[in-house]
Amino acid sequence: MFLMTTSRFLFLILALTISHRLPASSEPRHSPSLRLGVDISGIGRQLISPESLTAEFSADLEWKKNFFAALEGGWMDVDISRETHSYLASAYFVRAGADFNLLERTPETLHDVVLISLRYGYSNMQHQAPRVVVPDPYWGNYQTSVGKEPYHAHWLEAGLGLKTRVWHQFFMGWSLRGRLLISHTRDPEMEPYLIGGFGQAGSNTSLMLHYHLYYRFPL
Amino acid sequence: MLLIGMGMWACHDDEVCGEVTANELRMRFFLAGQEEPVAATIDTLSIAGLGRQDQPIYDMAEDVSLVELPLNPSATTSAFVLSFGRETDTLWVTYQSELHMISAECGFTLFFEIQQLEHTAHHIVSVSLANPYVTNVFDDHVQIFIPDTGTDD
Repeated sequence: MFLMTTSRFLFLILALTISHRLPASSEPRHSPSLRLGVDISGIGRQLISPESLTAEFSADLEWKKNFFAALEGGWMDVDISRETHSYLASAYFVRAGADFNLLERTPETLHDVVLISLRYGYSNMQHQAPRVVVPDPYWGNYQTSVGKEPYHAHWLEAGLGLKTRVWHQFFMGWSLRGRLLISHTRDPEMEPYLIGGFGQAGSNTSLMLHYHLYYRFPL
Repeated sequence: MLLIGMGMWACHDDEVCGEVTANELRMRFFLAGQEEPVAATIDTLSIAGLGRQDQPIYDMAEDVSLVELPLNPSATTSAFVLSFGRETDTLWVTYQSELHMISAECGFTLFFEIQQLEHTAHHIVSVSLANPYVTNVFDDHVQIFIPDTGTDD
């Protein structure tokens, strides 16, 4: 059963790739365009986790048919206060890379795309714990603080997503990204809770779903 | 799809503070004078911090082979008074501590590196440092060797 499902899946990918390679009889001419976007999934995340706020924007430029240069960036703020500690973090992040469109274009869906994405990501953070209490019921609690410390992270990511036109030059889309941390600041005293642009810290991998609204500028 | 994505994020925040924030010194008892380590069981044992005998950590505990003791987070030496029935010993543990963040939800804890062990020798024959790093990994850190009186296993 699993083999059959896998075979069907592989066949669909193959068919999609071949159909993409075959020139369509009415294949439209390539016209370069710039698409600017805002990640609206940060709003949903803040509803669930109000202690962190992430704002993220994106730009992609189709410099060659089906090949897109992509740039994403944003910032993140974390403000956590508990009985035993408070923690603050702020980060700027950037992700740069390329997208490749798998979808055959027709005049009706000229700018809709199904994308495979590759990115390099970098985050520049500062975080601190102004109040730390290590509870000890026997000897008594230990109180201290951790001052502002820099934190840097580099990662690679790959993903799959789509963008589809909803009205005039307005597009919506989602992308699922898998991330692999390749380098980060080593600090045994305090690791960040979230890495801006990467996601949850504490693991070298991260998986995140993004939703975007875009506006396309024909060039 | 939006709900799935939000759910994925929510999984990260459903973090449970399962890790202990108090990392304790684990000491296991062995019989002295054996070629191979032979575990010992203490019939009755009381342990308290030095100067805090009114607040025992173990109070007349029976059949004890392993004890877990809190190191004083505000000091670099913790002393414990161990009462083996009629005989009493004091154990001094000297260490360095490092602050570690467990998570944003659970806060911080201290990891310790044991640097020195000293003890009186009324009942304890010797002590050995098995693992100097007291972290949130459940390893034994100190081995305490006591005489084979014939009543201990």
